Amino acid sequence: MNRKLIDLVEFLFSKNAGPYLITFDVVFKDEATFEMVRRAKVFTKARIAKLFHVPESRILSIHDYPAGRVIKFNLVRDISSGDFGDRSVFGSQMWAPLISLEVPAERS
Amino acid sequence: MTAPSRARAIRVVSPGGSIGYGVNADSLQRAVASGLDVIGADSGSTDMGPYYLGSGRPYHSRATMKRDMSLIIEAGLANGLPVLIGNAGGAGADPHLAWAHEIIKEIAREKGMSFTLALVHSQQEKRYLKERLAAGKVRPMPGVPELTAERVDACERIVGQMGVEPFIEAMDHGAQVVLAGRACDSAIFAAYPVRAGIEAGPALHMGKILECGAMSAVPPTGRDCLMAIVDGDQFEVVAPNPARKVTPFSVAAHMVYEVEHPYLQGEPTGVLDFSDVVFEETGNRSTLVRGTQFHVHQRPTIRFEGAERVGFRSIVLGGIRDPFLIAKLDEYMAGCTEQTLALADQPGVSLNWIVYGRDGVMGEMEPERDHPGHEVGILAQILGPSQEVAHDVAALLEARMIGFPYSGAKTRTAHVAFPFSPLVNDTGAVYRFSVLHVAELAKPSELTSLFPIEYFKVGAEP
Repeated sequence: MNRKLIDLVEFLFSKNAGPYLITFDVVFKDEATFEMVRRAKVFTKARIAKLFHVPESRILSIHDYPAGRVIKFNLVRDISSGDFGDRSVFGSQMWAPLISLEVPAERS
Repeated sequence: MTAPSRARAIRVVSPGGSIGYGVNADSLQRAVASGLDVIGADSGSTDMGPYYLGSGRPYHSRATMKRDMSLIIEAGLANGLPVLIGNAGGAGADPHLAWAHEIIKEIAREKGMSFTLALVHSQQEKRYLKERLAAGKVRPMPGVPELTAERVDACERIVGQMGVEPFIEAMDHGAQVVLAGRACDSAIFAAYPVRAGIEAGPALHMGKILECGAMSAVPPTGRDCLMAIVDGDQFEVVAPNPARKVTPFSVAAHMVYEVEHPYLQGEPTGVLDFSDVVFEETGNRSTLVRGTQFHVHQRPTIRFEGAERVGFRSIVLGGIRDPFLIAKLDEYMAGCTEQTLALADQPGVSLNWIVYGRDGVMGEMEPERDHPGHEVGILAQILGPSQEVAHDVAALLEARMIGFPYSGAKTRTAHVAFPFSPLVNDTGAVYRFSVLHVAELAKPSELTSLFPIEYFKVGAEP
């Protein structure tokens, strides 16, 4: 059975990584869950771009760091922090579309 | 870099993610009582946006900044510990440094303190950056457009982000308190250990963890102290507050905070590499960190930040409860925009709408934008070449907003509930980070010489 990402995380948020990038940190409940999501290759540029209605070119990078049980990706802003038309100076509050991201069940 | 590390263990405290937010005095006292070598304090960032660098205004509450600086300077002087403060005033340019300097003089006067203060400037001549640009030695940070000389010239002011070198220079000259402009967060905490002979890798890595205060502890907060004890090539991260602990996970999860890459992070003299870092719980509410690598740059670099004024803003804020208008918002906003800009006939004016309750936070990225709530908030903003023009056009816009005849209306006018009189509010200048670029230095001595230091005998009798 597929699971929703929100049920697998300890916490998640979006925040500036400098004024031109928004970085999304998705931190998992335990190592096994982190490894399972990593193996399932849930986070791809194509999938994130589709979820956020942006061209793939705006997804700069996707990284993981096992010691922090974290998968993170970086979105290039269309308007830099605090410039006219910006909506979130800190890059905060952009993660809600991730709630319903489906993680496929592993075949045993 | 050459001699093997034989330095003694160095004990560093960070009073919190930023002084000026309210330092936890009890935790600071505990840290001091446990034995310290240095107090480091971060006080700024680019996080709050370009306004502060552009306008020269301070970010923090002055009263709380005074309280916090007073606490750490008193603790430092009473115990013979250097106090190193970086990113003064939020953005670290000369007006911010002057603001924080005034506060320090006031504290010394009121408390009868006297000490040697070093003021380290980070505001930069445009000429230097343009020279490096012309030499092909400037590259953008990820996601940032290529730099041009025009953009450099357009900036209100430019700062460079110093590393450990100016802090070390100031301490070598006997400064007891160092007030520095824009600095790498890591450098504020790493400077003393590096001066004492600790390798750059563990020292800078430790600094990266301390810069957010107890954000690396459980429960996490940026408003409490965090300590580290650097010994040879490893360091222990300690929470002075007994209500918190530091775990391998709490440190590792925070190491990726607000950075693009989780384990490769650039510094002026090299790249920190955390890929082989090992964390070990001590059983004493603290965690040991070892295995940091540091890949030294062939030539050192400095990151430059510059804010350009793009215009002046006036805003109109209102709420809409009319379901027939909520259904026709795009038509309504397009109509108001068109009529306003046609009437205003002013060059260089931009109009922007934010609709809260529909897609106010995420804009075109919002997956639910076709399902607005039963009521929406509208923030209309005008950007103009002067405050007068922005205000004038916003006044025209407000008059369109109240009566624009959208299709299917069940009312004739009074389309928006405005909460304020005045209806138009002027919010001042708007800035953009036009410079966010890394320059390779012409010579390593510029790591110090780009950041001139002034020394003062604060509180001394004339």
